[in-house]
Amino acid sequence: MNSQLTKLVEYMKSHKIYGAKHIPEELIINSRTRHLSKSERKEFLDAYHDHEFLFHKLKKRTGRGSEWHISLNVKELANFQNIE
Amino acid sequence: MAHKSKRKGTSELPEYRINVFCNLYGDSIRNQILCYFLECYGSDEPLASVIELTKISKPAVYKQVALLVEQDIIVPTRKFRNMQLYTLNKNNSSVILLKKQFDEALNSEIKKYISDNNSSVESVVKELAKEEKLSKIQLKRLATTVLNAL
Repeated sequence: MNSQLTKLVEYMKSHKIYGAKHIPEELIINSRTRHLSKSERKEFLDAYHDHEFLFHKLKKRTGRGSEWHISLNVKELANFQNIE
Repeated sequence: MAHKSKRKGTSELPEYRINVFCNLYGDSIRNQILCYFLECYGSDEPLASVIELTKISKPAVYKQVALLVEQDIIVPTRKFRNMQLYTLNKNNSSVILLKKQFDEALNSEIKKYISDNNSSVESVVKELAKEEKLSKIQLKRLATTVLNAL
């Protein structure tokens, strides 16, 4: 698993972003990839799309239209303890 | 209608400031920054993403990071474009201790969440068993399918 993706999961675990709580996808991905080079960023995005089953994705109506929000998949939560 | 006024000190914390580390050690700017670096243990991070996710003001973050660097808890690693990247000092004994406690707190929090969800299934089964004459196995199947659908 991509190291930046594990950090993303770790962030969501510690902030309890599972169940009903969610976060803007753009915000969290930008914060994870800001300091990466072009190839590293592509690698991260590929890993993120491969592991989409780890996240629950929903579209939220906001002041500026709508945007995608994500939260951890509760059914996969037991497996997150084994992720390193 | 009377308007309910909130006292400044008693209002609840915003969602983005609630995390496992601050539940243990208390909510402060220093702990918020430390929590972010503990989540990203092993990789170097720019302060821009700390500011974006924790929503703490830029000068406050820079002030606290300068203190943490002085105490040898955080170490500057490299420069990327115009950003200075920082990471936790793995050789510092207090950092090792903090990481250990952080991991334990995370795991216990998730275990608690999972057990709470399982116990909710059991409570639904018990409630249905009182009123209906179905077997407990049938009820358990029913409750799990209902909860999964929700």
